[in-house]
Amino acid sequence: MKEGLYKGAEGERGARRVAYCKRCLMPNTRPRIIFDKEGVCNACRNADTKWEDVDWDARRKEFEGLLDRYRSKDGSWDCVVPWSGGKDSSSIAYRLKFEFHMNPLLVTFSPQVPNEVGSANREALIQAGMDHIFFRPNQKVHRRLAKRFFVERGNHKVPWDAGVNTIPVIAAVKFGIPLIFYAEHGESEYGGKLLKEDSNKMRDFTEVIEHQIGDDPRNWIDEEITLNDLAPYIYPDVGSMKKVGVKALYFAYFFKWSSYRNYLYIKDKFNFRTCAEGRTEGTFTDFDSLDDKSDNLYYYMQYIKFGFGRAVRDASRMIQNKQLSRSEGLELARKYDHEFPARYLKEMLEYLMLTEEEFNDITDRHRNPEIWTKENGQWKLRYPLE
Amino acid sequence: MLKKRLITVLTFNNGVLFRTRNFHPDYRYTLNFVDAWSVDEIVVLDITRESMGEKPNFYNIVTQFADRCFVPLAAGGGVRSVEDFSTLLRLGADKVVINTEAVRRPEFIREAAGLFGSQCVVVSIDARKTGTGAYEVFTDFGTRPSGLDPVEWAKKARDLGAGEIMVTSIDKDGSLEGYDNDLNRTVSEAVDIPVLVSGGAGKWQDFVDGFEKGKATAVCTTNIYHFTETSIKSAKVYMRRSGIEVRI
Amino acid sequence: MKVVIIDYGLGNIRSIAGALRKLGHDPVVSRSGDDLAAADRLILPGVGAFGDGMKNLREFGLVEPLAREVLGKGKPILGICLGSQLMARESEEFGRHEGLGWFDASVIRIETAGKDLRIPHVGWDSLIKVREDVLFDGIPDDALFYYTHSYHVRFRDRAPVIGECEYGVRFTAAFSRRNIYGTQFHPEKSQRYGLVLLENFLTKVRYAEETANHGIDVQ
Repeated sequence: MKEGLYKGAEGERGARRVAYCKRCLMPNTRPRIIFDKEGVCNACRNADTKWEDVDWDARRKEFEGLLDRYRSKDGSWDCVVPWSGGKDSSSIAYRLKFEFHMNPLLVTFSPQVPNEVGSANREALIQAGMDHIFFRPNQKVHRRLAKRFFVERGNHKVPWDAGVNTIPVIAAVKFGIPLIFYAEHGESEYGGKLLKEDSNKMRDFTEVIEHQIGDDPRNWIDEEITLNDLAPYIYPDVGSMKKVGVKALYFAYFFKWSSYRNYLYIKDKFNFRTCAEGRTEGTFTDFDSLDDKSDNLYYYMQYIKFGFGRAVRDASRMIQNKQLSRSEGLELARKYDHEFPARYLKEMLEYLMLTEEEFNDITDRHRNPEIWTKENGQWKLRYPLE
Repeated sequence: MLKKRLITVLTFNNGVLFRTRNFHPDYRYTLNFVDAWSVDEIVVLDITRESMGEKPNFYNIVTQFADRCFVPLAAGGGVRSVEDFSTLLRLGADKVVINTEAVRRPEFIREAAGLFGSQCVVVSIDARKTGTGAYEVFTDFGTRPSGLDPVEWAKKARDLGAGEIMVTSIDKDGSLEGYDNDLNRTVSEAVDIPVLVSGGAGKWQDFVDGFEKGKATAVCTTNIYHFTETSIKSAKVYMRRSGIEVRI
Repeated sequence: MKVVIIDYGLGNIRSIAGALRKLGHDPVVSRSGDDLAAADRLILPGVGAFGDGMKNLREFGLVEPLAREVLGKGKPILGICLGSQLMARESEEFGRHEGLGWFDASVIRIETAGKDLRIPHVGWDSLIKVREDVLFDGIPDDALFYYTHSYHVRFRDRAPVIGECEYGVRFTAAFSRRNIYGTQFHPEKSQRYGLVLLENFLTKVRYAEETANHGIDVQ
């Protein structure tokens, strides 16, 4: 293991003990998580207000008023829904069109390694009645970036994050569609800090750069990648957005948000399929993140870097939505969180242009020594789930 | 010919690498591998609030950087005395960054320069625009107004023996919108010692603007993702193509 | 090979030690005459003012041992930044000060009047090779080194000058006479080529009697 800059191991100065939220299962290693004095994380606290302190009637009225102002009268599209084909974006699209009579244009930034289930789900909703633009980026460039960031940050989805955030906005600007509906503000739900007052309502791209992508994509030029190659990742300038009057909003601000409820809502509206193998690798659910084979590796890298994977994430969410008790979640997480993404490993090695040896070397280097230790040649969490 | 410098500034909260926005530690980075041979200089700053952490955690960071990176290292944050100054030098820093204490007691600059040499003394000036549109120097992590004008204060610091000035725009910190080049330029034109500019850099063009519009001697970036070999090379090629003489 | 980094209270000892360790050596940091005597190579670091430097050398009783080892026994020594400046006869930094006097040279302030050049001279700058030297083996002509200084060493007789830099004036960046070497820049802070230079000093520079004399001696 390459010596990391954190020597916070073996009780050395600077070592921080990993603690888990008393309510859900999220550890304090997650970036942007904050634990209060009682050891409860900010996502749990936010979940409380979500269910208790919000005037949902008022929010709904605000929503309807907004839609009344923007609803198309001339046949044009009046809103963009960044769409993966999954339960969250599909339920937003479905509700906007069939419940609120808007005219959405669904825009998809292609999954890195498309999954059959995801493609089928998208096709099914299009068959049920939706307009759709599917954007697939230059693969030579995209894969080079994916590999670079896998090596540098242990995250091959950085360019995908950039594309998924940019393409729908480019569509909105180019097609003159003022509203964009996102699912939720990731930070408040999953243990992050809110930077602005109405961050929950309106999407701020600077925030997205800071939190998800980390760097301005224009900086990704190198010996092989030119500025032209970065067109799908370069956010439109403020001026052109103002001209169209682009407003990016979070659905979860206006309605009680629950991924599981979204799944229940959507699954009988059209032929929505779940994970073919019965259970998604690394977790106990079968209805989440179905469209990209590279997700399994993504969540596994999260496990390596922060000590928590998909099972912890799914369980924490369900605990916050009162769909699971902590002890139930703990049991499931212990069972599945550490699962290695073997199912699509071969494809990922090919996609990222790595040999298995290189892959192992890279993942080893991303093991945070503050949370991992090697015992008898096996990696072990210093502070396992509790 | 002396090259223009690209400096990485890393801020640590109780020994943990953080990114900041408007000077509030925002979230922690996981520092995976710091291995950049093309970086010109590194600055590590301790942004731990008083009594919210232990100094040794930061000292640990200083020694680790000093041992691994064979480029100039400046360290600072909470330096209140000549002893603090000396400690950082002993731990491996080549220069020490002072801020609040210098404002509180300007003689501190003279003392440090006299004992350790001007080239070891970097006076850091944090400024923001006030209601009237004029700039004011703030201390204590950008929270306390000093009543000082950054240009006048920079001149005074230079007269007292500062080797370099680092000027940071509090408003622009973490904004990714580019430096406050009005602030940068006015400070740079007021002194004849090197001026390092910081606060707001997002894309490579911002660095170019920092040199051309801000008249910087060196530009700083606080983005951890700029601290990789690929990023620094990309930035420097971009700058070189824009006519900025950098070390590649 | 025993390398001793002379600790007289000034200079980034840690960085130099780190660089040497990276090169596979095991340096000793010391100010004792015995260690200096036992050493195969000496490094005289230095950051700070000339006056303080000489004061410390005297107070720690290092002036005699240094003269004995370096001038008497011809032991290789590398002076870095202030360490190299101290080898001169005198300096005008903060008043007139006497140096070790190993070279007929004076330390004077970098003169950049009217040239819009900031002092101190800080950053990466060139090393213009004036003469061939083993110190420069493997270092290309466009290599950059890290400088941080307001003063430089001006040689009355240019014979010892092996490298220069241009900043307002052309000043000496590196000098040598047989076993005695000095660099104005910081090789321990100059990454790749700095490390090469250090390794060259440690492994290629020889004791005085084994080296041809390049110029007029002072002593």
